[in-house]
Amino acid sequence: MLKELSKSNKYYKTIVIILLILVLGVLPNFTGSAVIRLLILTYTTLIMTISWNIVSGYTRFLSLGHSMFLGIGAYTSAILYTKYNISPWIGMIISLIPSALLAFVIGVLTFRLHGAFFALTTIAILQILMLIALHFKDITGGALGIIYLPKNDPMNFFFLDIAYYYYIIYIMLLISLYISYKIDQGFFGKSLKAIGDDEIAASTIGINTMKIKILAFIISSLIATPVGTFYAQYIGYIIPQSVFDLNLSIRIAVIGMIGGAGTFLGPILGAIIFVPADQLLTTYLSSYYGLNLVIYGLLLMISAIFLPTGVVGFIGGFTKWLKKY
Amino acid sequence: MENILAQAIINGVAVGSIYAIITVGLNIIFGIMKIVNFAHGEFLMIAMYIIFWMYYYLGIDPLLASPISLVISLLLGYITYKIVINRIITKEDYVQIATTMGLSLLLIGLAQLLWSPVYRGITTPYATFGIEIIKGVYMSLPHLAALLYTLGVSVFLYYFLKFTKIGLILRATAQDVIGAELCGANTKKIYLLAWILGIGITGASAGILAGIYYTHPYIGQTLVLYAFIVAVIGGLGDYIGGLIGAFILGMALSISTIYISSDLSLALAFLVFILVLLIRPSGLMGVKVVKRA
Amino acid sequence: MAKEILTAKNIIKKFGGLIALKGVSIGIRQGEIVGIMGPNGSGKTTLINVISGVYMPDEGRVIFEGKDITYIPSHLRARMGILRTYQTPRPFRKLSVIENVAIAVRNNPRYNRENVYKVSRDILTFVGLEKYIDAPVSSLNTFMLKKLDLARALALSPKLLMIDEMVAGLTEAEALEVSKLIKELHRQGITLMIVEHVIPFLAETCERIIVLNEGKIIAEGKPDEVISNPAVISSYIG
Repeated sequence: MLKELSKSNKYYKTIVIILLILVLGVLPNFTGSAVIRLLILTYTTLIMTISWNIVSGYTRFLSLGHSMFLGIGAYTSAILYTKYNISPWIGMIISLIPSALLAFVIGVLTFRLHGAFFALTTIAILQILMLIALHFKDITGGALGIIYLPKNDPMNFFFLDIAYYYYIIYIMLLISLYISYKIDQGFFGKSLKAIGDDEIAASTIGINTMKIKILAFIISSLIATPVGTFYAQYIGYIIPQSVFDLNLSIRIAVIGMIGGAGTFLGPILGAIIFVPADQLLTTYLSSYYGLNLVIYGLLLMISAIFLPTGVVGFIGGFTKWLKKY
Repeated sequence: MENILAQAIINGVAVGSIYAIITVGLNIIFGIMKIVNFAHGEFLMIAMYIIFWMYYYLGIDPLLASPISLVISLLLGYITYKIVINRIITKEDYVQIATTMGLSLLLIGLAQLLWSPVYRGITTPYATFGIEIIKGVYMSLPHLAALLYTLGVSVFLYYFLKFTKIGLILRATAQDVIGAELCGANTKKIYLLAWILGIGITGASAGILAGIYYTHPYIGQTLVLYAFIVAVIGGLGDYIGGLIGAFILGMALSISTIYISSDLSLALAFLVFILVLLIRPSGLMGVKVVKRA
Repeated sequence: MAKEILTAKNIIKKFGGLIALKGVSIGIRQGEIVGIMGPNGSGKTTLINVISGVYMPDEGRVIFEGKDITYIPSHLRARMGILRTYQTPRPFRKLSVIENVAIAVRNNPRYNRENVYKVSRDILTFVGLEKYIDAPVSSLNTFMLKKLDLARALALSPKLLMIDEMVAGLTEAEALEVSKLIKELHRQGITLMIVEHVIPFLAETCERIIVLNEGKIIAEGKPDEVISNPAVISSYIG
């Protein structure tokens, strides 16, 4: 009886998900630009968090400089377009190479050491990249950055109608979710979880922990980098501080940790709750500057100590408790 | 030309001592508790605010107010230990990093809420005084104070750790917790002591630092990043290594600003950090940083 | 006489000022059941750690099937057939019982993708955990966790299996179960190194016992010889 119930549950779930995907897909036809902007912001944050989760959520090596990939994606495609007239679509793909290389190098340097070294290195690299972007003015525009004038040029990733940007980031989100789901459910994800649980035990049952961690970090970078290119095209203006942003990196980590690190749903729940909440707090409680940090800090401490799997774990535990009755 | 180099060295020594103050606190905490305290800078920041308000409302000179910042820091250390830190001692790296990060965010947020993000400066009457070391080369009084403080703390720690009973227990715990426990050490109390000591040493310098840097919610973050780099260079957990590393970095940064622009010299600090990771992650003093079975 | 499958030559392992192994040399023949005993802190687990690759020795060599593996990482040793369990079980709590075994089986070149779960089930049945195959790890008690540790080690078709204090703390019935498992593994030709505190169990199970004390071997031989050896007795009492 239970088996049949769960089977019909499965069909029910799939139908709901398909409906949700379709509804969100056609949303721009029915809502105003403010909602679309909020959703785009949510989607970009969510993709970054999914990317963060693939490495940090599962292996427990916290990346605190994840915005570095955003910056690489933004600057690489922007420089290739403004200097060499290469379409940002192609630039988006080319920018994957430096990101993957960077992820590889950081992994090789720090994955054998205490977790704090990885965290510190990601911060250091982020700062180095920002300083490089500031310094080499001829290439990056320095502190003034790179500006795009609004125009309609789809072949070069420019649209005047915000709806197109929505569709693009939406597709990118669906792809990221798919990759994240496959990882979570497959053997690669299970190995990652094992490494996060007990790396030594994992190595003594034949798991090459360095290789797997580095691979996870590279995949993570590949998901995050295109968001950088998107950001450059969508906002139309990039400066070092906005794309190599420590605050953004920490925010992504916080969302990932509170939402539920090392789970598929964690980043989703985290981003959906946080991005709108953060916007609300900033708009309506702007006089209480710093309140959002206080709340994040408290939530982070509480979840780190009591709920290592975040909101997802909390809901999971809650439903289990409910099932008892 | 000679004088410029000599001045740069003096500046480097001064800046180095500032990094050293923060690094020593970090190293004590990591060396004994094996916890990387991402909130370390925030304790300093709060102490600096206390100093500032006492200067602003009561007119107390920051250097003279140092004992108060010491007491406040010790108290704050005690409170945070009892409420937060003692819960994460046995947990994995991830939990420790996440928790101290959360604490850092909380403290920065509180500072912004209570005191707004405005930069606060203290200009003491003696801020521009300096002593002439050799012809044309000066060290300002606040910098001198920082150097003296660092030297004083180093001497104190050296004798404390080497010759007192508590110091011995601290060192034993840093080397091998289980062994120390077997010898009867009360690890809970040791950890509390290490935490308070680390926070206190850094916090007590607030009086000196408030006269050199602007006080604002993110000053802790700015300074602590260098402290982490220094700690890695010197060997995470080893306070002597941290001291050496601090002076090396301070002078390297200072001297490099003569030849290359200052924003690149910042990148240089981070590059040195990465180089150290590449060549000798255990730092100058060769501290073990790989995970144990 | 069978060839030596594992030779450890003059292993020295230090931790800061503490010397855990002070020049230990052992040779284990293919198909043997060797017991390792010694008081707490004598270096038994360190020895397992050095052989399995968790630690690299400061001095000395580890040779497996004729190859020098002293500096080969632990995951490669596992795939070569050197497996071990842990004194305190170390299961992966984020995974279910069968997943714990499956990710190990996945690293076994003998089995391909489609068979992984079937093989995992078989192994779990072999150790007696068939009722807990889809259960979460949290529902297992210590004895079952120890069996899970063993199942994970078996998943890689061990040639040398090192078992770290499995029997300590078990009931008589549970110890008997372990004894049967070990005898069956022995029958299958797996070389076994059994580190144990419970001396009667060692005496009954092993062909040969090596005694460690303070990082050195103080006795070696047949069980009854070793147990009646005065040096051995005093190391436990003195």
